[in-house]
Amino acid sequence: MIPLFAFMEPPPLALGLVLLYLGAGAGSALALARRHQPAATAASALVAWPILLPLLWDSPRRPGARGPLAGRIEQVLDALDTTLRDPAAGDLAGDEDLVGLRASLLQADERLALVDKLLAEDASDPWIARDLDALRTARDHAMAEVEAVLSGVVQLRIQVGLLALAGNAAPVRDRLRELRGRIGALEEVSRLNAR
Amino acid sequence: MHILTLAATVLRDPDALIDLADDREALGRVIPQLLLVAAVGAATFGLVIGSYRGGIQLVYAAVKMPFLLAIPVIVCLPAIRALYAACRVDAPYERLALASTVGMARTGLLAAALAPVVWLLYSVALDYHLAVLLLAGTLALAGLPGLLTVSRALPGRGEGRLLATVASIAILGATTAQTGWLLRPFVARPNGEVAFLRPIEADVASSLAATGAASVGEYQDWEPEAAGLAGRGLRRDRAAEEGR
Repeated sequence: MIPLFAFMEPPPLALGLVLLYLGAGAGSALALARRHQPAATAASALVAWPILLPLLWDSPRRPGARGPLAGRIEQVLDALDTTLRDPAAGDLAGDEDLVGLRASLLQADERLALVDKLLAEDASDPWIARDLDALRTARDHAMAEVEAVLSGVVQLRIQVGLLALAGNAAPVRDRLRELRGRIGALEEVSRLNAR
Repeated sequence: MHILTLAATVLRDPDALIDLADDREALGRVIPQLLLVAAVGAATFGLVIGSYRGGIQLVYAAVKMPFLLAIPVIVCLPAIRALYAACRVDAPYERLALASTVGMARTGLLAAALAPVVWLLYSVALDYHLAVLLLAGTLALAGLPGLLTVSRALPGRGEGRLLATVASIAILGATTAQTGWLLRPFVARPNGEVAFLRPIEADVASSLAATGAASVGEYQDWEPEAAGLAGRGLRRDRAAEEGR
């Protein structure tokens, strides 16, 4: 008989804690499955549910108002996605690179929508007019940055062909991360200006 | 992302993975893969550690080693988050969770990479005490890059950042060491009884000190005693046996 424990029985406290932990894991796995998370994610919650808590307490994000560039963002990124998924393109970039960039761009676009709503307010009061001018300048800068990133994505799509021939995936991933970093920097600058 | 590409990214550019923390979809996909990478790496290392005794100890050590990496992360994560909050540093839980998982995967891969060196040293009939110290030293060496990965992922601003980081690393290190003691034996004595787990006795610090002294021929009069809440039952049984 294979000896499992060097003593006759495991401590009841240890057994109880393990069962409690696994019970919480089972509950988390069920909750994740109901949120349509992948099966592997739900299964891993059985043993690692504390790590997956952010997926449980984050309620599905309400989509914000579509901004001035939402349509163009989706069109450009869908085109890049189609190109990258082409079998001839090879494994040039991971899904998470493109998903992350799409999420960052759409969030930037939602912020532009909010700012456009504020700018549409009545500016007859001189104090409000001054603040709105500053807001308008920041909005124009943000819009220019987003459009520059979209231009970068269009250029990247054209470069994919050349890179696929060379079999070199690193530049595509690096460029996607660079573009995502540029949107992240725009958020950071906005945050600093707001303080 | 393909699992092999993920493993390469964990070693080459872990910060890129940690940046996915803001993306829930990517988080849900990447975390199970990282756990798998950590488990396979740790199990490979455990297999080599178990080879010191051989037989069923190969399986026992391979099964327990992934838990040695996972339990400290799971147990300490809420405490680390609370530490950062107390030091007024904004450390999002999802970023901490992902950074810890990437650190765990990194440690697992590095431990697997060091496994051939350990296997070579074990194959030259190393003394038991030296074998235990080698295990502890290898895990410390493999664990350090993992801890640094977590530290680099945390916010760069905040007055109490240094205090929170140092305290977090200390907590993780101490919890990992004590978890290793609780899950022992990994390196089974050549002539000792093979068991999956041993009674909860003493602590890792006194055991390592005794092992270190024994490895240089200074045998101390150290006997493990049942300790803590979980050892209460064992103390009661031993007291009852002595009373008979």
